Amino acid sequence: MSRKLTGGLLLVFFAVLAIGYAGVMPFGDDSPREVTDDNGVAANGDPVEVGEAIYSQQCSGCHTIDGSSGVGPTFQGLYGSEVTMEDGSTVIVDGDHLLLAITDPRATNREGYPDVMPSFDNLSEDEIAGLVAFIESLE
Amino acid sequence: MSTAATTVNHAATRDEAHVETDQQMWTIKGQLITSLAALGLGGFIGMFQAIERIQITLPPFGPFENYYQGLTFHGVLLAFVFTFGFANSFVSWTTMRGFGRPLRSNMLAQGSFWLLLGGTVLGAIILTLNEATVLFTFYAPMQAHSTFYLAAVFLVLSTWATLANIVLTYRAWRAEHPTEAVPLMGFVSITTYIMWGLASLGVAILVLGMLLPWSLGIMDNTDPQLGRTLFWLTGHAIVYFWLLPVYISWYMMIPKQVGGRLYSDGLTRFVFILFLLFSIPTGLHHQYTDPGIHEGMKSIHLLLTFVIFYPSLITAFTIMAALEHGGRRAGGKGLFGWVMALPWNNPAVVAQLLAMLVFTLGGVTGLVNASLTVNMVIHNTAFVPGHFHLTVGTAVALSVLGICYWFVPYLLQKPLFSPKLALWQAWLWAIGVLIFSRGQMSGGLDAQPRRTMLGEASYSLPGWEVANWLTAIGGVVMTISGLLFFVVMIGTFLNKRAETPEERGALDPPMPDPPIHDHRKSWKVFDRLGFWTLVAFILILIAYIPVLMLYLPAEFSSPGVRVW
Amino acid sequence: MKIDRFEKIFMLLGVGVLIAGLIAIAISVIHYGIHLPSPDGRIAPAEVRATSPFDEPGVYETGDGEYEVIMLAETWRFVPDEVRVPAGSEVTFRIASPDVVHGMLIEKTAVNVMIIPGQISEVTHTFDEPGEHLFVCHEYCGTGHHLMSGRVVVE
Repeated sequence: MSRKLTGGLLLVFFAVLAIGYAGVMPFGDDSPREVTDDNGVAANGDPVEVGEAIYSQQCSGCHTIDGSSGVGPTFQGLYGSEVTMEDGSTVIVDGDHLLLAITDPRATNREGYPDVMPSFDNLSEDEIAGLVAFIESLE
Repeated sequence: MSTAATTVNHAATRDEAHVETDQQMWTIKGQLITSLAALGLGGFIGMFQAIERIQITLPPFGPFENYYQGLTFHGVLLAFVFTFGFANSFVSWTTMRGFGRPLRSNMLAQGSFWLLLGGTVLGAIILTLNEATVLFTFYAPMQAHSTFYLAAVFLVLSTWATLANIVLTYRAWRAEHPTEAVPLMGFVSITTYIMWGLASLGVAILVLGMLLPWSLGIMDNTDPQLGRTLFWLTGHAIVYFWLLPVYISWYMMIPKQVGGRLYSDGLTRFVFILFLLFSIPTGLHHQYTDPGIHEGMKSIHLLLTFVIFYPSLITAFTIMAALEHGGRRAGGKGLFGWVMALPWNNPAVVAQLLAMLVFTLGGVTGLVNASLTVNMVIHNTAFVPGHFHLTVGTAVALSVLGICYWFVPYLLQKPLFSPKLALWQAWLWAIGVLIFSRGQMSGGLDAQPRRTMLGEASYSLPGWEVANWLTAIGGVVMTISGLLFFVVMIGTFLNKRAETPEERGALDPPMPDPPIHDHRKSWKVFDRLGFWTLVAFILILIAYIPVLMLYLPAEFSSPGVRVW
Repeated sequence: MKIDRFEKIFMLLGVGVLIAGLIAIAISVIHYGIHLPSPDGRIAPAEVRATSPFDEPGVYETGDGEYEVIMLAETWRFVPDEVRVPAGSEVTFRIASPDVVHGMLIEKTAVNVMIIPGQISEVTHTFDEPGEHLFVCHEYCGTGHHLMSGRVVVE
């Protein structure tokens, strides 16, 4: 590698260092942000779309929609299926069951899954309805 | 060492090669191959984490079920397998060369290799099965499959086997040379491993005494706060176990490779003694925000953490002086003229010079982490991985790549494939990591949490987008650089063996000349290794007994949880 | 032992720099009254949800402009995940975990604390200006870790 090229690369290195890191050092504005009251999901859309938006934000970490395994049960084909609970009883998954599972999951834990799902009782009624519609749409 | 090293012709190093027996050299190669395989796989997985931040999820993290499984692979392979394998390989070799004799025990050398390989394979299997997605810190009460903890035991035992072998080799040498000063290269090798031997006690007690029996169901509950304290007793010192093998190269080989000489034998010993003494009693600075540990204890560890910064500060001067010495001998003039006179066409040197440059930034950001006030702003944010990709991810990793550019050709007796590609590798890595860490650190200052699947997170703040893009771009540049490294290595492997004496001579390792102020001017007390080991152990007790006394009785009330 | 002049100067300067750093930290600790989290009691994870005060998490006014937030950090949410207080309030968070290790970081504050099963975490912060602060879990706590957040709304 020629001296010129080496010198050039050293210049690039220090330029990245100087420009990049100079910008980090002074802390930004530390005044708090304005209060926002939406959580990014359009409230008046098609329920399935609302549900899908909620799903990708809050559920996709654990529940897949393609049948593959995850921390929790997959949503594919979930609606209408018969599932076994932790206590050995069986339930047909319908809208009421999903509502309960979303708002009080520890009461509806499925057999073979860890008891770790948080309650999503902070979601609005429309959002929960959207989510149920979305799950129902996944045959 | 000094007699052989003062002669610079190749015949001298040929003579020294008799210390390298076939029974031991294959283990040194085996450890290195395992280490580099872990680097390749672990690094490649890292790219998926970087680009996840800009919401690119390529065939979902390879074979993995989720982001955190890949992240666990990345951490375990790079923080444990890559570093342990390299240290076992390289420091065993510097021990042989330092003391001018083979390692004392073939069995320990081979045992060390099999333990490393066994631990790696066990760990890889259990991680692939998604039974141990607990990240490399495996904080209880997240409970992995017991095989995961067993794999950790194997990996640590592998380093202990090498430690025992180095100590036995030293004792055999001492028996034959009762009055001589410990050869410098032997000294730095053995202090590195003694430090790690003491440091690893914390994690050994944690895994054998708490986590393994708990994962096997022998114990029902565990104490997460006590576990973290034991983990970090080892967890800060481990970074010096990553770093010191590289320091051995910087102190021993780099001066020779730039045509200069190390300044002072005594200060080199002083620096390594400081690492032995102060690496370990500093662990609480990783726990400033832990609720169960008293504030006063944290402040004491803050003081000790500043002490352990000091040997690296001396190193900055010493190595710079050796570089300047070499640069001026090569005709460099003026205040900075010597810089351009350094061998910028030698990839082994360039990779390590760039690693040193990046390390200055890594050191400064490390002080930021250690300062308990500022730590409240950046603790567990993306700032921290930003910092340690500058240190272990570059100062160590890029230096290891640089060392491989002469060590691998020497071991294989085959010339390096395409030094030009190797040079580009080094530059790309250095510039890539600056971009990557700039992204991580600015994100961290804007409250971006670390080890989080940010592309899918349910929250985001203004400013994160720029940070994520920089992280992703830097990560991709580093991946390209890593690919170049493996092209060079595979090319070297496929090269023809060196046949003529000239060809073979060109592959001889850069063995150090004696320092300008050699061992006759050093304090003899540095050589009393047993004494220093004892002092180091007492310092650990002083630093940790009050912490435990304030903490005990332990709180064994947490059952294991699986959350993945 | 032979140490060269420049090396000696550098070594002394190094000591000076580190001492200066420590002094700067000490001054900032005293001047701003910064406290690190310190022991505030213990609680077994299995008993968290059933033991006072954590059986009733929420925001409580404890005095003039003083609030206490009793909070659960569990997989993968904070309870409560929205804390509303008037500007100028001094807010003390007391947090416990019934499952694994969590963390809490409130943006643009120095509130940064680990939440470790078995231990109670306590941190205090005064929110002077109206606005919104995101808080997130900053320790890996499972596959839903990146969903765990909340906000402090200062009114």
